[in-house]
Amino acid sequence: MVLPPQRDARRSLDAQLEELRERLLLMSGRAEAMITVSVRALVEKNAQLAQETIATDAEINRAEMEVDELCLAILASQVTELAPLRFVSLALKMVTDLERIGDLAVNICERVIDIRGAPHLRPADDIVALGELVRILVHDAFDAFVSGDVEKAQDVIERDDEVDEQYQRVFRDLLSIMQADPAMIEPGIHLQSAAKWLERIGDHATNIAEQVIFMVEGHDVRHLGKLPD
Amino acid sequence: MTLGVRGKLFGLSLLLIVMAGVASGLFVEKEVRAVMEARIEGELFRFAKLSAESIAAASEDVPLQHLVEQLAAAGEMRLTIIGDSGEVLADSLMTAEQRAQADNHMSRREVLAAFESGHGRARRWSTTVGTEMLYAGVRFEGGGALRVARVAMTLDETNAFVWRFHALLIVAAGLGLLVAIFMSGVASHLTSRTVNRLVEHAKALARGDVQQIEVETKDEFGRLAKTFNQIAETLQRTARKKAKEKDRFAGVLEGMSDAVIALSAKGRIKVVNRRALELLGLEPSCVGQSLLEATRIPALHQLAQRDSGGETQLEFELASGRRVLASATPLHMSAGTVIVLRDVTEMRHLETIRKDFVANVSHELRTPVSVIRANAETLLGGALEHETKGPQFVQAILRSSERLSTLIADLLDLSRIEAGKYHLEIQSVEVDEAIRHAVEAISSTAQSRRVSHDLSRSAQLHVMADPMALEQVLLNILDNAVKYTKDGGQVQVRAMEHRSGVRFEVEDDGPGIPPQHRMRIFERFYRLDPGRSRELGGTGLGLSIVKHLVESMGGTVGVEPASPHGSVFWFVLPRDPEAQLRLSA
Repeated sequence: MVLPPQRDARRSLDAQLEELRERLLLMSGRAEAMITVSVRALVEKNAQLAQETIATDAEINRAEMEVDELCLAILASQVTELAPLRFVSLALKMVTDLERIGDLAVNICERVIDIRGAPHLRPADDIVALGELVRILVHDAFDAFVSGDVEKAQDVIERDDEVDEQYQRVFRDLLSIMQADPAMIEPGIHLQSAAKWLERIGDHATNIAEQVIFMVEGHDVRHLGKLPD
Repeated sequence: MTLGVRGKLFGLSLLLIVMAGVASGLFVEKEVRAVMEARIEGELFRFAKLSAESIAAASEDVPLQHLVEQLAAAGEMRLTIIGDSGEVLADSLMTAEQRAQADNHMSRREVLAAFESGHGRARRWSTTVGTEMLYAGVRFEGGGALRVARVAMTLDETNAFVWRFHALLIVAAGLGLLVAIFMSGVASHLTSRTVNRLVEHAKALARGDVQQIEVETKDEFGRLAKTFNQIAETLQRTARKKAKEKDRFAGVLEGMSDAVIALSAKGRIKVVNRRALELLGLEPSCVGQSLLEATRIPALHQLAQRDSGGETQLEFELASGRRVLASATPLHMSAGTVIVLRDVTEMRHLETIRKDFVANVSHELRTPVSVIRANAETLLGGALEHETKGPQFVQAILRSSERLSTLIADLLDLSRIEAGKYHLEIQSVEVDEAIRHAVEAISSTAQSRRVSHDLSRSAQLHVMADPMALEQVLLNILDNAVKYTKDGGQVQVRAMEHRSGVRFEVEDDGPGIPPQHRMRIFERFYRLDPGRSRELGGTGLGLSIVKHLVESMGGTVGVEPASPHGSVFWFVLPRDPEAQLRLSA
């Protein structure tokens, strides 16, 4: 990345922050799509779809590196204001969460090959619901980020409990299936791992929501004039 | 510098007064001077003539100078007698020495004129007296020679009069000025009140507060007020027209089945219709956000970013599973973009069904036909004579032709049901009996799979159905269930009340049906796993016939996953409402 010249520093800082924001939003969109598609690949046992999804993770990883570089470029341009610094530090954390979400989706895709021959277990349908729940959580966390809506972010954090409940249900159902029929242990374990990863994605959504609250409440403090403008 | 109406009016009246004063002053002064000078001149001539006559008539003894002095004193004028060579003979104001030294008076215009024509007059600065004088000369005979009696008078009186007149004029101008100040004040007060009223009205108009103004006068202000009223009317008309247009536009936009999003040049959402909100799961508050902020769909962002002149299209799937065809059209005037999203889920689904159907039906028909053909050829090739192989080939031909005829019979049934030409005799059917019948019929082919029924919840239930059709539906579903269940597998049939109908369920513990197939499994020739299901026999039309029969009996059909694995095929048929009454009777 080429550092911008010092002249026009203010304008280029704004442009850089805007670009950073745009890249984060694009990444979030890709991450959301990966959640849906990885669950679909798993439930439909679609190895080709799984392969394609694994390939899109490379895009997320590249995006992560670009965002990191952009953050460093902004930090290196001697920004002294608090708001952009807070935003950059937030972006650095969010990008890690997004990258982890991509990795977890890849993990789910990798299980597709392992369960190819197994019958369609009933909890797989619940995993689809869990995947949708988690995707919406990520979506809402970014809605909160876009609109700076603390209430919405708070709601995301609270709704993580729903994800945990749904995960527990899937876990219990799989456990009883595995206990009843040892032949179901292998596919059961794979599905259980997928559910666990989805539950983790939910935790990353929660992280993002927490960072949004930090970002917004930081703003409020600034508006009260307690910090230099 | 800006002057108000008041200042301008005052300035204008001041200018008018000054101009009138100066013009009248100059004109009147000139007239007054002319009149006064004419009168003085007449007096001068009269006095000159009188003096000339007196001198002519006077005796020679009286010294001329003396006489002249007396006459001048009587007439309060200067009197000079000039000889025909221009010498001063006598002068009321000159001493003898002065007279001797005086220059030749023939150079004086009035003197010269008098010698030539008898009269002469002039007006000039007198060096002798040091003031402006009016002179008049008259020729007369005296002492045997021609002489000129010249009288002179100062214009001091005239000048003083003119000065008095000027003073009067200045006083009048001063008074006029006061009147002008007062009048312009009143006029400007009246004017500015009207103007201010108009200005207030115009301001209200600019704010969009459209109201009529009262027309008080017929002058320019009245006309202006009238014009304002016309403007207000035009504005109101335009606003109404705009509102109508907007209403129409909104109606068209909201009524569209396609989702529409209009973006500004900066990529912000300007307009979004209801369908777009539904399709993309957006809130109306997304107006003003960028497309990426609102939707975070990379494909859509990419489409909006694409910087080509014409329309561009892109098809992708939304998180909701809907397939959309998105097209972006650039707006030339506002440099924005309009994105239209069409939900093509159904269209693509129907396309797939049609394509699959054509491919599958040809496959289903070709397979038995090629088996028959190959076997027939082998028989003709000599196998006909073979004792053991011959009948085997004929058997194979028979099997394939049976398969073909079943297939054709099924297809014909299906098309008859679809066309509504399949004759159904709807009557009250006892549910338990129908189930028992079907289970008995299938058990012979079920081999090691256990087909059971649970009639605990269906006692005494009756449905309105065609008994043959109902049996066919149950047999088709059971046949499928048995086929796809492993050796030792379980198939259970049960029925129960479900709202105003009876729900039949066939549950197996087979491999189950993944969600993506559940919608399509009732399609003609649709197979989950083409190789395996053909190997198990069947035409691929069983479930399709089930769906059509159930629907033509007024029911619904579907499939759900069973726990822990396997499927539950269900259908609901309307209950016979009179069965209960008959039983209790």
